[in-house]
Amino acid sequence: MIYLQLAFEFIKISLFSFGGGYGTLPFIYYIANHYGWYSVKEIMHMVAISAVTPGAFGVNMATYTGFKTGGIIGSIITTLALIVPSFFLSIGVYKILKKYKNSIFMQDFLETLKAIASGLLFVVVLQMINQEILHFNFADLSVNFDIKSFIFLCFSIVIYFLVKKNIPLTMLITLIFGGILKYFLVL
Amino acid sequence: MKISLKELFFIFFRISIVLIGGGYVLLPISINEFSKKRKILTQEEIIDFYALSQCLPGVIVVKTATFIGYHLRGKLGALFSLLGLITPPFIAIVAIGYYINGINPKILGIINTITIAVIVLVGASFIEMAEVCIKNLFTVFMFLLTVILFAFSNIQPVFIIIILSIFGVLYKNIMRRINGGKE
Repeated sequence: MIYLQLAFEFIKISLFSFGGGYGTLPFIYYIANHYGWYSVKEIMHMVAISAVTPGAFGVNMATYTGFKTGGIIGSIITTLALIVPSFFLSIGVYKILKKYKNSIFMQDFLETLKAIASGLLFVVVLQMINQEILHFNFADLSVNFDIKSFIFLCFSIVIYFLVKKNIPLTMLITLIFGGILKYFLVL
Repeated sequence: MKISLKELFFIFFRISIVLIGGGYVLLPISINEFSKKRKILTQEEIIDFYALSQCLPGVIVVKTATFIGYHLRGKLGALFSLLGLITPPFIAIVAIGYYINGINPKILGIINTITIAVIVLVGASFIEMAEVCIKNLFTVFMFLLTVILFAFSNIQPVFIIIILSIFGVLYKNIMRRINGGKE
């Protein structure tokens, strides 16, 4: 019974959550309040672990929620329930896209969509910079500039170009240096 | 050049391992793997897939992987891409759930420094995307409109996407009629 409920809830997430992995969070909170399988406090723990383990955040959250609620079988069910609807949806959209590829309407649509997608990504960058470095507060318009994180950001940019835009290496080197700095200087 | 199912599985397996702190590095790393290294997809195609994934419900990474896998090798390609994508987190999460029973907060803090690297990578992928997507006055206008609405209003992203894409398509259509079939 709990497996069926899990499958139902995560199919719902797959079909109705927008904005990527973090868009699944309201649903995860809903499950906690509605079924009581885990507490809201546990969600914070799950978010932290999902954010720092390999894999997309949304998939990790689903796997973790399933594991917490129904063990290994639970996690298999939630992961599948999350990806199967997207699988069919994407293939359907792909076929439509291919069929009308040369129509002016589709070209206009894609041109518009890509401009919008760039805008969304730009706002994500702004929000991350704000959250990690600037700490701008809308309520009293105060700025709490985090100089340490800013220096660290510059360091990371230099690394990115030094390793010729190699993404895993950039992440690894930043992680190692960041870890050492944080361990010896801050903690 | 064709790509084998096994190769697709392992490419997405590798991609999945470096997806830490959200799926945002998916775009630069798949451009790197499929366009720059193997030359089996153009940068423009990958950006198309990514942009489409953003406006469909569900997890963005899952949809982009399905698009890429399906484009290259059909249904099986999409299936193997997704399997590659979900295997690393599955192993990691189950291992954490079983043996560690939660991570030490001190270690979490250290791993969290990766968010700074994520900012750099997302910033870089934004620049690559903007080079392809923002090329005329119309797209600059749509871009600014999105940023303003998304940053300074409480409208849900999904509604912003729907309203702006209808507006964009209508605007282009009307302008074309006014200018007599030309841009």
